[in-house]
Amino acid sequence: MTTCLRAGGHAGFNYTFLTLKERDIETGLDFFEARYYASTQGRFTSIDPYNIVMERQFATDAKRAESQFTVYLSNPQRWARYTYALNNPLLYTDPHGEDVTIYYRPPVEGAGISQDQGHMLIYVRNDETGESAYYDYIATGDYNNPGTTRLNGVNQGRIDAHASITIETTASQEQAILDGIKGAQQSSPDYSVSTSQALLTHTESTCTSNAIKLLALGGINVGTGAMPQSPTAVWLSAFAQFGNREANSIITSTAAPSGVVSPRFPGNRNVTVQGYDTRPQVDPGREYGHDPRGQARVLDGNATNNYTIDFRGGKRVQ
Amino acid sequence: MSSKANSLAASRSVRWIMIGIGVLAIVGLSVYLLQRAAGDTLNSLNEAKKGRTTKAVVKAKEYVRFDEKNHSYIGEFGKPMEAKPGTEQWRIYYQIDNFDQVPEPKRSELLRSEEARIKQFGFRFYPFSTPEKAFYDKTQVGDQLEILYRYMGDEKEIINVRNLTHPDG
Repeated sequence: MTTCLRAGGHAGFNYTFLTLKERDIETGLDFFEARYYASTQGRFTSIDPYNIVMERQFATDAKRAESQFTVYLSNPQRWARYTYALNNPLLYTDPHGEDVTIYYRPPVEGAGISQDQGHMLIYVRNDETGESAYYDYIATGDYNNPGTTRLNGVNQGRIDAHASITIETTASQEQAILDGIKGAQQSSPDYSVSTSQALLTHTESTCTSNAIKLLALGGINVGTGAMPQSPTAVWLSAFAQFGNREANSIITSTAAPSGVVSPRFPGNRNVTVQGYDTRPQVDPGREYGHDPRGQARVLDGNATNNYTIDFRGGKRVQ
Repeated sequence: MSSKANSLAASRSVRWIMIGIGVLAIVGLSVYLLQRAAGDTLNSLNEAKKGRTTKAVVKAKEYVRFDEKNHSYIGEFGKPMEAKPGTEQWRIYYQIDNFDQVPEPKRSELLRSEEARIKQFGFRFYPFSTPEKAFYDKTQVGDQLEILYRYMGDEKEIINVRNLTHPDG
């Protein structure tokens, strides 16, 4: 009961390999962060905590909320809140391995928290339609002209400068995120962080907060709950949920000795590996998730609208 | 006796009121200072977060193919970066003209650190991959580039590169 064949893959993989979720041995339930899944029944044991109506009511971006609501209504399978993978796990096991990728750059050493907290961008490709898009949100301007936002056209240099986690997703999840990115390409909120936004109202608009919202459209919840959500906090949340510990053996030990020199760059970098399991060392240029087709490290030259778009006051100026 | 006791009780009340006011003042001041410090940090972060555009000149072009032996290179922050063996890079080396978009004294600091970087590692390059080869092919030594960058400390993150001399590139 607990094994199944993955389309195009190898026989005998445990079901949890497919979902990457931990199984409670006593109850037989799979832990899906927000709730438990009963694989014997093919159902979650509680309802999906995501509430589209509340989301729409309290959204700060009315247009995006409306688009999200329409996507939700367009598929009645989404209305049943106990189901998994829209009741079609065989169709949505992602046979091509083309998924969602989170790119992350850690804060630059020595820059300090007041100068840099790192950066993140995302990439998504729909297996069924072949459509793909990047989302790289940048505040632009200078001290004479502070006020625009840019969705950056991503190129190889940009990818090389970031580490990545690729997350296995379904075509419907990918499409929901793609729709979100297309919506953002029409209207994108200004970069905005103030003390009250960051600490009290949680309404900041940054590369991270916008990426979190887009990923949430596809059911990928990498937000850490407490704002402000730094790129590092989100990366760690993503790594804890989707990181490929098997492939990255350097990260598997929870009690590694401290002061170990990185085997990747001996002589160049001293790496303290203690606590790797919760705060993994991140090397730009490296994939930390499951990326069987190698989508993450090579630029997708066919990504939809992968060119620079500027915004002022949330409206496109180009 | 009763008057003394009343006076003692009154002076105790005054003392507690004074302590209360003192505590409130300290708490208020602490909150104000914390808020100001958080605001200063965020202002500094917001300033550094802004992508800015400057100009650069193309100095050289180079094709690199990584293999099992040679698969790391010095990235934009002066740190080694891994490349997948078998992948290719079409590099465009360039020199940034100025950091006039940043106020002093940061502007001078960025210029100095850029000169030090060139001395240590040579000119900066931007790596392009196979889908972007057309950009590499059309770009010539001496072309003017528009560079979108931002700074963090003395380091710069190069976000995007555009060829102004051959804009179709």
